[in-house]
Amino acid sequence: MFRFVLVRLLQAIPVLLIVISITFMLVRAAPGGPFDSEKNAPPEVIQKLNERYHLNDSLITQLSDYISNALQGDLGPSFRYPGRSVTEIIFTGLPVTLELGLYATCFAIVIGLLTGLIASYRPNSWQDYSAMTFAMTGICLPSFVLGPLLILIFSIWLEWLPVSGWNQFNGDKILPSITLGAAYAAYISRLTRGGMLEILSQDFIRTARAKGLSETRVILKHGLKGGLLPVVTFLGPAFAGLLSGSFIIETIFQIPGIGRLYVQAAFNRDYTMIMGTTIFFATLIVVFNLISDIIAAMLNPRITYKGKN
Amino acid sequence: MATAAIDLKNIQQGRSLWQDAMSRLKQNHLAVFGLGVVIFLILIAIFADLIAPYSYEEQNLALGASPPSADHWLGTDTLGRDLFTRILYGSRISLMVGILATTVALTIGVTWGTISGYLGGRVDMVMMRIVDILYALPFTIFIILLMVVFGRNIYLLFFAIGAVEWLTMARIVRSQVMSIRNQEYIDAVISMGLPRWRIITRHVLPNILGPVIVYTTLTIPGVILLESFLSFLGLGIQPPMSSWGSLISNGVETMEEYPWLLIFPALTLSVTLFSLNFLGDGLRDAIDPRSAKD
Amino acid sequence: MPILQVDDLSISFRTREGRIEAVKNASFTLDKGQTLGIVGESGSGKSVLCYSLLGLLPMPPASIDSGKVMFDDKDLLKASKQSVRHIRGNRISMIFQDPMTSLNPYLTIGTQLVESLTIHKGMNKQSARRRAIQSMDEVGIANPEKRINSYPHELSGGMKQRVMIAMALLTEPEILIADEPTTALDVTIQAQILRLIKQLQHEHKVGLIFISHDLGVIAGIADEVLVMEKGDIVEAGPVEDIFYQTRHPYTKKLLASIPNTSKPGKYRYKRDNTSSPLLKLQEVKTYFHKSHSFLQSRSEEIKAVDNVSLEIYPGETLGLVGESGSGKSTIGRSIIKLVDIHEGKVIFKEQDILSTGHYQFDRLRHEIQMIFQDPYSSLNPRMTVFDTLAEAISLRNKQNNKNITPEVIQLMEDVGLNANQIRKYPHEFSGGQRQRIAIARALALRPRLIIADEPVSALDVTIQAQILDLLLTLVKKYQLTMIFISHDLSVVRYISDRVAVMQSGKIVETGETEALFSSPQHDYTRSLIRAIPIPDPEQERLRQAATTIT
Repeated sequence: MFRFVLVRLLQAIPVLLIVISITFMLVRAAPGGPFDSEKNAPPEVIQKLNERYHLNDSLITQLSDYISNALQGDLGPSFRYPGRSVTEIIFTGLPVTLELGLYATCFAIVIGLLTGLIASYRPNSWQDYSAMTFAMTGICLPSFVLGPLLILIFSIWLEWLPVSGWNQFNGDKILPSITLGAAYAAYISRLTRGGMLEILSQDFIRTARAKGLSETRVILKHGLKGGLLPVVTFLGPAFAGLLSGSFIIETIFQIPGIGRLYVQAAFNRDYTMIMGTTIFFATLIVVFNLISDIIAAMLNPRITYKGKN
Repeated sequence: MATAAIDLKNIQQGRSLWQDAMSRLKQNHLAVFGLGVVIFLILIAIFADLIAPYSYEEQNLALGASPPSADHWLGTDTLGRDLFTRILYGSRISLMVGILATTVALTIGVTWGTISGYLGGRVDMVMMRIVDILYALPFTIFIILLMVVFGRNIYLLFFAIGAVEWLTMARIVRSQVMSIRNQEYIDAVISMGLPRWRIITRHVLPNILGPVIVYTTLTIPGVILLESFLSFLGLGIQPPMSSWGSLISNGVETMEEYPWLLIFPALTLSVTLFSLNFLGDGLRDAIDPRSAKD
Repeated sequence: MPILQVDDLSISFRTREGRIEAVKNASFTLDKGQTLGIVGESGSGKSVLCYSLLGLLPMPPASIDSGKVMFDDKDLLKASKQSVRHIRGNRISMIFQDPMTSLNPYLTIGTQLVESLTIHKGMNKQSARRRAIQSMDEVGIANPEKRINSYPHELSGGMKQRVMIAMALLTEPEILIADEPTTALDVTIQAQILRLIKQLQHEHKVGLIFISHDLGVIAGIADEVLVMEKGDIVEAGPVEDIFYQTRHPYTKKLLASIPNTSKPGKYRYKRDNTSSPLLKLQEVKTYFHKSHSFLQSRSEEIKAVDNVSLEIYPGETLGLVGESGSGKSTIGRSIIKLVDIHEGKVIFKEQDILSTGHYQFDRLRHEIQMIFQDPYSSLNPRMTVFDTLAEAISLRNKQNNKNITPEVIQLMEDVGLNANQIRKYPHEFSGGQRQRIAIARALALRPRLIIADEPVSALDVTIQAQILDLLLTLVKKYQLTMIFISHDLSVVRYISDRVAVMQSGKIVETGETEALFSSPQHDYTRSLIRAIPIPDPEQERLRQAATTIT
């Protein structure tokens, strides 16, 4: 087990190095420097600014400096918000994004598992069809459609919930969480159904039934563990995707999380901010993939922790 | 050769697996509906010039945003442009991105996956490790970055999206090729001395076509979604051109006053995604009747 | 007074093609301590019949159209789900065919054993566990205190089946239903498991319903026998009557189809001692490297073929026999370079195959063809029979494309298929017909040597007999030399002139077929031959008596 985690961790290092390098190169390849918008600034000032942010060094030096700083948790100063470091800004946005992601994940898991289990319990029944139609709707209504539609219905027409904000009004967290979680709920629902149907058709389920176990016990004790494996492996990438997908939700609902910071930074050409958030997201993705791999390995006794076959 | 004088008129025609699959598909009403919608969309995208009642740039500032009426079936936007026409032209962009980017993904993915799966061994290990590493990259973020850095270039967009989507295709193709590779009929043709490229073209590829078609059908809606997502953020198509994503984005800004500007583009996008997904699911069930899951 | 009485039971399945009657008006009884054997080929309805007794059939698509299943004065078909559940796995238990898939891979052996007791007997976990360990000991699992914490994948196939038996007998049931419990196992393991089932049945006085396709196994274990064909019970009676006073033509056909180990085969080829071998293996070693991951440099080496030397003479059929994992298939695949040989020489027609270049080897390849085990995966599903055969013919005969159609038709007739069917696809044929197509494909290249790798093991016994006879006819007609690889000694004895016995990568004994079977020299050969069930109740009893003594 320890070996398995170690190997996975070691694999994450090249991934992160590639992410940092690509991001760095891409951003540097961009036409126009970060201070181009300061039109009135005399060349000497720009020169000074460039010097201060080490923009005149060779790219390799800049990259290696950046990587070694990043490893110490220092993602450099923000170009847009002088005096504040990228790390600092990320950590002001992080709690909001994490909270949003957490609610959305909970929503996705609860709704997804519930509908998936109901659907797999009686395949091809009306329960199954309605659950799967729901799932298909979730997949086909992208968040940037679902969000505005929910606002239109619940905030503007029915006036039940606030249009936007985070922690400012009562219930302002409900719509963003649902919007963000809906697509993942749909995927989880389909995965749960598929996984459970697969497992329930196995020979060992017949053995369990032949032992005279009740249907509930057959499903919960013998089916669930194997049936949910695909869901567990999906959860890692899902949570990561949820976090990075949150910038559209944060934009629509005007939530002060990292997602919105990222979009702003992208438009403002805030080099260090873009790199910082990209690296941060990449790390999150790698970490969550790792966690879900480990959980899946613990659920499945046949994986011998020696890496994927 | 007396025995060869068999009555060749009595030859029984076999039913290929494709014919079987098609007859199963026809029984799936949702999939047939999906196929119908997809064909309809492709037709209107091709003939948009003939169908469109107005030019897509034609403004009528005096009219402003007006609700659906006999003149303007789906209403007009704030600049008085006909929404129906704009959705019509938007379908061109969306479908084009969907099909072209999927083609990019298909080409790279099938080649990569076939080589990796057929050769196996160390080649496979290295090729798949590369895919694993690429998989771990936050691609949505990279695409955004790319669009920010290099400007909103539609060809770059095709390429970027295709470059992301091929990874899954490569994995699917590889696992399919590997399972076909283990079938005894491949051993049989190897021991008959059939050249390798003929084994691949005659015996391997035709047998993985099913899953590849299915996954292609399911990739197209994913790509359309990604493009709309980028256009929604303002990173995709540039005005005055419109795609469904940018129409939805405009609709959101004014949804309180003019909800039809949000609802119709959103509806079009969703119906398209629905149809493609139904079609893909239906194809999967038809091609491999055992895999009616997930 | 029977403990189980089945009256007029009919079961049907609803499918896309319409209703299929799986079991038609079945009636039988089972007494305490009695063994009822049910024998039939695939699709005969024997398993469906038994699953229905415990309500294990998925309904729909299955439906029970008529009949009664009386157990303990209750009709199990009409009883409430709950009361059936109380009987199932408690008073009537079941053992399944494939121990590899019948145990839950996600739970330990202990968990799976203990739950029967806690649920049906209301035991607490500790005493249930003690009882489970005791019963594992009883079925011959060494070190049960440790094994109880294992997961199924950590046990061998035979061990898993022992666990299944322990699980079935834990609750002291009155009836045990065993559905082909030894079919997935090697012959020596099969013998152990059969002995165990018999012994435990005797000790616990349970009524046993034993389903099998293998008349040899049935002859050894059953008191009464039901013979099923396409849903009908065509013959029923005491085991001696079924074997010695056979009445129904289907039973007669079944019995006639078994290549009997006590009888030698029909054809015998006399080798000309002066001829030189067609194929010679010299100290062939084929190893597999099993590496676990990218970062693991240390890899396990499996010696699949370990220093094998062998000579095959023109016109003879050499039987290569061994249990699973003995390396017999790897030898076949090594000869045609489907796997790489590590060391040694393969000499075909005086040429070393390994040192010939690619181009030359492709020509040699045509002279050595292979027939595979699984008729379902050995044909390309997207090609018609014509395309499959034409491809092979055109490989041999690159210039002349005109005569392909007559040649294809000739081949079809050679293997006993109707030439009208050349435009059909593999999935439109039955297993036996597909195997005929595969044979035709091998013949299309006009080979001199045929390597047949378990060509009949996936087939029903009556089809098996047809294919074996077809092979024998073709060998004679085209003067083929054949290496016949099989785990089934009866089949090998029937078809081979000479036999080589393999065990863990090595050939332990070779000899003329009759000499080898009548006086085996090696211990392993002896134990293999002794383990084969004989489809004759008297002889089988003698055999079992003999094996229990030694």
